[in-house]
Amino acid sequence: MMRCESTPTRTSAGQGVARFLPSAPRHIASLFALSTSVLLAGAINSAIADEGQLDNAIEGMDLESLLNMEVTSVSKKAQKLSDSPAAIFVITADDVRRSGATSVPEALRMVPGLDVARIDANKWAVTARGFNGRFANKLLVLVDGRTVYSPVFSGVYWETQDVLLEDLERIEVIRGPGATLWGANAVNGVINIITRHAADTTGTSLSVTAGNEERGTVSLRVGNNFAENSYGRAYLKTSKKDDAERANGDSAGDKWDMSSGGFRVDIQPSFNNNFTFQGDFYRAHIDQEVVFPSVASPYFALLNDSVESEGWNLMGHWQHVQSQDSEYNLKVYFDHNDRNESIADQSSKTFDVDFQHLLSLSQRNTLIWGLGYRYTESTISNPFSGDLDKPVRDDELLSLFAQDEIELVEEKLWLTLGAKVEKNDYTDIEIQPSARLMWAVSEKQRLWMSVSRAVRTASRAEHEFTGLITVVPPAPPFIPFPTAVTFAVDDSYDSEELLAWEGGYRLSVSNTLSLDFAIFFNDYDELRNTEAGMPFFNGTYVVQPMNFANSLSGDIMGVELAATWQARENWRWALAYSFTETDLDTRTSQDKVQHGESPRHQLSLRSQWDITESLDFDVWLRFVDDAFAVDGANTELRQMDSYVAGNARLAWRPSRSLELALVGQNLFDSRHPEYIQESFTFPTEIERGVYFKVTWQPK
Amino acid sequence: MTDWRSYFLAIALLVLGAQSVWAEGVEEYRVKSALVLNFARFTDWPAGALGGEDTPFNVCVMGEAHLAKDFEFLEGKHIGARPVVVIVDASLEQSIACQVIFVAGADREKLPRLFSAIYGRPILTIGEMSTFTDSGGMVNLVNVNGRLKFIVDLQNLHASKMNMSARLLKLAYAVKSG
Repeated sequence: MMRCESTPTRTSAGQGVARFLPSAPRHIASLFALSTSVLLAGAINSAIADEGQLDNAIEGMDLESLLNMEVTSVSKKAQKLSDSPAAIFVITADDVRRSGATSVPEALRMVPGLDVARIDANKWAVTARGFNGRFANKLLVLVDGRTVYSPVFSGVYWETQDVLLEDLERIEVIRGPGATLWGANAVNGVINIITRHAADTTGTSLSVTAGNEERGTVSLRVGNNFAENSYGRAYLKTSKKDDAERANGDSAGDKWDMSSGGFRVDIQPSFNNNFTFQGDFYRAHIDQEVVFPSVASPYFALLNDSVESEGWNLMGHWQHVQSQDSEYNLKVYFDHNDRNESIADQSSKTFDVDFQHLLSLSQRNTLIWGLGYRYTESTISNPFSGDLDKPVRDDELLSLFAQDEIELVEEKLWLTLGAKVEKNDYTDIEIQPSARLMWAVSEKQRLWMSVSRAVRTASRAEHEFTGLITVVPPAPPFIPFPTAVTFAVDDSYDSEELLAWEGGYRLSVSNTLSLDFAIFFNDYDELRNTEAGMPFFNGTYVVQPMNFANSLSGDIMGVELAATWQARENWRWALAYSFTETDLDTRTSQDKVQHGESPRHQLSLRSQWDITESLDFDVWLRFVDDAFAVDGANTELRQMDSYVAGNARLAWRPSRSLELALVGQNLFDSRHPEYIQESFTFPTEIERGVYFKVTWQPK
Repeated sequence: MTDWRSYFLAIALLVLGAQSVWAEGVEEYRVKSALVLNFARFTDWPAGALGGEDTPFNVCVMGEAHLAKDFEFLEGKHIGARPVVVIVDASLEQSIACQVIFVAGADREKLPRLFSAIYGRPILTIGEMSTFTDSGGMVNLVNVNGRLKFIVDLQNLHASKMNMSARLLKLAYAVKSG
């Protein structure tokens, strides 16, 4: 039994019937087409019922026939149990496409252990395993190995990470400290956004999106095999996003638009040398309504602000394989970002060099060691209040790491020991060791555990910023003057420390069902808090200085589960569940409002159904429990109520090069709040969105 | 029949039909394993490279080996008089003992180390990623509109003092001669 090109397929037979019945009522036409398909399908199924017959037929077949057979790729869906002794989750390009997500943070919502919340149309709060916020600072985010973590405010501006999703290879998410390999700030997790090799994007891709929230996006990529062993691509993208709404239905004044572009070239002059050159640029115009504390009545100021943000980067990567036992990687990049808004104007220039050497010491012992140097010049100017001694600052970061993987028992037990030593300009030397054990219980089971230490180094803002936090209006007759609560500079402010205990269990229940559990206990020390200094009267108002301190400790524990089930060849389910319990040793009322709390329970359930080869129907349901967000202006933790959200996507491919998709986001309510920023902005709600997307990739 | 009933029926049929729609073609790696066997039969190894007449013929699966479990069907088949032995998920150390290596999947990063170990040795290398022949591979399988085609890199083949029959090369989608 085989299928040759001359044999009409059932799909085309079905389409053919529909084509010849254009005037018949639609449902009758579709019914007829469907019944025909089902009947034909039955006939074919019985013809290939004897598997053994099929095998012999394939073996005996000549090459011409084999090359003419139509093939399906069921195995591509096969899951391999990860051998990584860490809580790792991989989002594939296909997962992103079928989720209907239009940005990286939206796609991250499918990962267990991550807490993703949208603050308004253009701001997100993303963290792993607790401590969420717009300025969440314990998660390291990399794009092709380039850090996009801002050294100025220690956090990620997600809105300007405008990765072209069509050229995304995968997103690797590691929850837990990844400090040994990745360095400081990989405290609670690492997100690795990996774009496709240029050889996989040789062709044109044009996509156009239009909708009520996603107002419009046009993206174009062209790729080429421009010389022998050399591939390249370039892309341009521009998008316009609608504003979100306040609880009362008013516009939140946060619409934005963004343009970006870039290129990637991959050259392999010989089999043991690979060169990659890549670069991107972006320019964003972002509206926001901000509120600042003020020492003059009415003690706050409202502003319709606009953020002008732009940047570019260039990167080179050389992979050289000396022998089967020795491989070198050298990566160099330059990254420049500018962000001007009424809160402050900030700018950074980063130059980074990383060298890695992988060495097989023996068949059962692999060593990776590396060196890194990073130079950052950052500028902070025109803050809305306060001042900086020097607007420009240079920082150097030196790092050295080594990690050794030892196979203790052949094919059964692996031990990974590693440590990273970093020298930074704020806290000098930081040592971050880890030990991990992996046990292949059976072919279908993996058990791992680890203990590691990680630190979150201070940001420039924490060391130097002296602005207003809030202003307490006078309360006559007892307090006739306003009180200005301000940050005070304190050079003794130190790194936050984590000792993390983790474990995990992976089980391949069957070829179609796999489970991945992780459990963690994170013990934090030297956490950031603020302590009140001595108040003084400056003639017009009382100044209450607040010093950053490290006198908070506590722990966060949690459990995470990821399950995938290939219910049928054409129907796949994916579930993610996270439990997070935050328990900080707060002693003062100030301590209680320092850090947010991630939801105790989060659930994500995705269904990917290939109705036919050319028709997909995907549903994504999410439950997010109550969360607590830091409300800096009111010095309180604000409860963000639990919510249920649903996305749906229907996509049709009339030909191999064209896809039409209709996507609904946040379908269950007209709008709901998810999170608030720590300061400066007003609570905003996220609206229901519907968009239509056309993707054309001529083959 | 009222409208809603026909829609309901349409959906029911859709659900019932859904599974069989995908049973249409033949599983990709089953066909790939048969192709690999055929390629081996039409390849000339340098004299003595395969050992005696009844020496086992090792077909190794590397890369994302879990995808290509179907290669186990080749166990016990023959290349001439030599019985095929399939080694799934062969290690770098095992690789030099293989007569054929199939690199499953598209994980490029480990490829240079593999070819450092085997380049120039009489091992027929077959892969399925766009840069396979750039990396030193001899035959690359590509999926063109649901059907499998193959590209041969003669330079890499000749570097190992191997050759392929003209009949096989005639069927190639493309032949790179360096």
